[in-house]
Amino acid sequence: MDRGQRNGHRARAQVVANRLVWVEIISLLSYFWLLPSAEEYQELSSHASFNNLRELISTAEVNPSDQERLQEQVDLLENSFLPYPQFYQEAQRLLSLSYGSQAAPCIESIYKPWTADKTCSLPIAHQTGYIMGDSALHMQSLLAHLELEQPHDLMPDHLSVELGVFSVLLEHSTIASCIEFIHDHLDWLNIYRDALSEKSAPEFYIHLADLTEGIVVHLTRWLEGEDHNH
Amino acid sequence: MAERKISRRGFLKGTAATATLAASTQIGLDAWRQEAFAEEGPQKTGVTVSLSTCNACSNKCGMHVYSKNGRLWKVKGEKKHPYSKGTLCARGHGFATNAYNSTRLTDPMKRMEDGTYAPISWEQAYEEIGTRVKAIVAEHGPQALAMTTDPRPSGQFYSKRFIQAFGSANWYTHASACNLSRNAGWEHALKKIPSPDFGEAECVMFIGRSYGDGIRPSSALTLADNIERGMHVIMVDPRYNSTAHMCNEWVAIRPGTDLAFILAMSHVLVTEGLYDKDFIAQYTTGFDEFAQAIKDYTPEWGEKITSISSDRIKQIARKMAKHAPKSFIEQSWRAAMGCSYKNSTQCGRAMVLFNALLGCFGRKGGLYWGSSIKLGELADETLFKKLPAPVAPQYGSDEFPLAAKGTGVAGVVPEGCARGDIKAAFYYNSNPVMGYGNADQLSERLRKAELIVVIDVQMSETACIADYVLPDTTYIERAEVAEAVSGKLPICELRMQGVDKVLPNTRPVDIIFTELAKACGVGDYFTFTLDDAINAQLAPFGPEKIAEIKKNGLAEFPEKKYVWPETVVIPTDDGKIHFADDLWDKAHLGRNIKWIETKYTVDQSHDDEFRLIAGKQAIHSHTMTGSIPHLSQISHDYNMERVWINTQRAEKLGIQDGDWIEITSEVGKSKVQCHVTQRIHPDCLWTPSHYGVRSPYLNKGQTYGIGSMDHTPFDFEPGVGSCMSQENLVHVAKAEV
Repeated sequence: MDRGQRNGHRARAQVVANRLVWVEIISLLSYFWLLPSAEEYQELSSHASFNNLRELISTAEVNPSDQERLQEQVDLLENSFLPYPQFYQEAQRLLSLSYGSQAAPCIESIYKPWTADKTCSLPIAHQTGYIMGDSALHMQSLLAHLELEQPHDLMPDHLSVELGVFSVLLEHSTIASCIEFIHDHLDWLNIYRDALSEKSAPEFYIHLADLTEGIVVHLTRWLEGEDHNH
Repeated sequence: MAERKISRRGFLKGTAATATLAASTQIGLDAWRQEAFAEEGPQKTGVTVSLSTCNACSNKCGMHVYSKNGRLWKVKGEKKHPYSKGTLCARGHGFATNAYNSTRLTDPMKRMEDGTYAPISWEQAYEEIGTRVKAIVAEHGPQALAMTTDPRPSGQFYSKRFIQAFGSANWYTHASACNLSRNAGWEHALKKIPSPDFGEAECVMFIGRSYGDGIRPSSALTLADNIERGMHVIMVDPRYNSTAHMCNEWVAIRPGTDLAFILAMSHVLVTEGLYDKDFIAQYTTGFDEFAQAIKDYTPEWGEKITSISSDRIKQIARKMAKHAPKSFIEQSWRAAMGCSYKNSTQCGRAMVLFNALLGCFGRKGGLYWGSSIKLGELADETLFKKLPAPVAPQYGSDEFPLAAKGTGVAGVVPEGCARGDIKAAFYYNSNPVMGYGNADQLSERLRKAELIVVIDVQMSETACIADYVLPDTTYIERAEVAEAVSGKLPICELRMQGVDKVLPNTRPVDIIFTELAKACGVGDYFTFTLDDAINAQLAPFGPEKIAEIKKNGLAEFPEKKYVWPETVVIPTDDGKIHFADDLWDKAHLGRNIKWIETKYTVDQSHDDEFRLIAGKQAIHSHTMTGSIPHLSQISHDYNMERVWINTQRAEKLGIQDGDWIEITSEVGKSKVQCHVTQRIHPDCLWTPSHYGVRSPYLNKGQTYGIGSMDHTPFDFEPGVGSCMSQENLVHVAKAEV
């Protein structure tokens, strides 16, 4: 093996390592969007978990100024964590559909036109604000295709499920597929961020939405860069 | 709540193949859509069609649910169904989409000490409810339990059996806030409420009922067709409603005086000898007493009460007599005498007696009793354990002896809670807090119960005061028991599951009651499945018919097609209509009919005093559709929440069209925009009955319009128990914006 080949292998190994960093970041973020039990809360709110996130972000390939911004967002997130059970109650009110107009559930269908099916004559067909839209059906089909079990208490296009599926794709699928998934299912985070503000969401969730969107933006850039390089 | 250990691999559980599958995944959204929405070619995706019945109002029109990829794609009226005849109304189209509403309940909810609600598991909900119900029954007996439901097929079937399984007779429908008084008036006079034969009718009077607002598509279409044919239609309503523009005459009556109007018209028929003497002789008793009883109710007397000129009363009565027996007062539903005034039951009775004077019963062009079929009993006791006899009569039946036992007086439940007689109140698909008057008072009374359980699809106002709220599926996501529909061609219908279940943790009504019964110690009465119940219901129809119903969701019974009898058959026990009857005295209505004053009378010398009346708009069904976004959007787009006020009365108060007004009453205060119009009687304001949603879970933080009962005291019509939805007095002033 010549030096060129060795460098090529090293570069590919580096890419794989970088991807795994992003996989872990996305995976960790997916837990933050779930309603945590007391035990999960302990784990999530611990300094260790935020340090883990900081460390992962610092390892990810992001330019220094953006790196600083993402780290600041993690700080803001950690500092806005409310004590339990207040955190749980606020999260419930915000994220659960049952709370109706008080809530801003992190479910993609709600923020996108219900269907692109031109033959659908329902009055809601092209409206936003409804569940089980095309996003949900597509996620359902992806879960089935990937032989991933749909959690019994979550809609298929719940942000946590989407991040979970994305982390699987990020680890195992092509860069093109990952970019496509972002465009298909993680392109609503800015709209969701506005919805959170409208519902006077606790600061934690505003910061979490900012961080999630920031991570997805940087990851997209990284993926597009990698795609271009290869 | 699912426990998830935080892992670097994420919380989704995959298989050994997941990584390989992910590596080969090429299913982007666009590619998926091309396949999922393909209309033609080898990829064509099947659209499945199931028959259901609409749930947007109690008509339950037959409808086809088209589903694509397991999701709702289209709804369409079923041609064979006697109510839809191929057409659904706007609210039917709108309500079907409720399955995908983002304000739906997803999990069982428990009221916490601070009044907030928290999701809990089904197991916890059942266990806690069961423990409390068992303790209540052990200490106070089954009569301390009550169940109220807005009647729909499975809801009615399961909720009734659930409460009866304890030995309680306290099962109620929403009738006391709907058509209880009309039913009492008509059923005690006739036993069975007839239907109109519009096809041959020549002159028809509607009192308050508006087919253009409370739509049953087939009725609205039939009415329109026959008006075109030349049928004369008289609309009696304080408001120029959405049917009035099709009618030949609008009679702007003072609200609450329909009884006086009918008595005065009866006086004309009797004194001028315009009644059907043969019919009276053959099919009625007590006519002479009746004639004597109404002798003072002259058209001139009627004019003073109704504000309709005596000449017009005479002219209308004579016109109806001229066309008799192809002439009648339509049997109505809720409208002006369903549950509206202190005299509503008497008004229903007067309608029957006036129609008897016209001799229209059982005659072509008049009112007739259609054919019916009977569903099978739950005869197999190994499947359907025999229910115990109730330990006490239905709560409220002694106080309201003329209320139909089948529906009861649901208003007695909060009253019973306040008195300490009812300890546990269950509500299925019913929202009494918004419908029975003075919501705050009603809520306060209900909260005296030890346990309130609400089963619904969203956090209604009643759910907001419950101890437990159990999330139901919407009607298009489930199958339900069979129902028989009578008419000229009777049918049997099934509600079939039309789409895949949307929310994973919701459960259909049959399962909820079966599991709840188990938790409450009466599971022995629910050892059957939904299919078992349907099979028992359909058993009398034979294998071919059963197969047809199960396949198509509906079957007609041509062998039972209505044939006009050679002679008139009145369905009362003795085949007669009784003009004088002691039974009415049970409710202090008098053996002989008499005028009954309304509870409140508007004194127009007070410029600001009005009665607040309410009615339906064609796109809504009371408060049930208030949270359907696109129906609400139509309301917003057309300012449909505005309260109507008469032009001259508004001028006196310096109020102009579109102004905000403040309405005050003994019940409360509200602010709303108004519509100034000549199309409303000067005595009253009119408000749509759909708005003023109070639930903070549904109203997006801002109340739109006012509730129809926001100014009506919580009260009961004597002897019958209706909520007297229009017995109120309000004061109006121009409001500061």
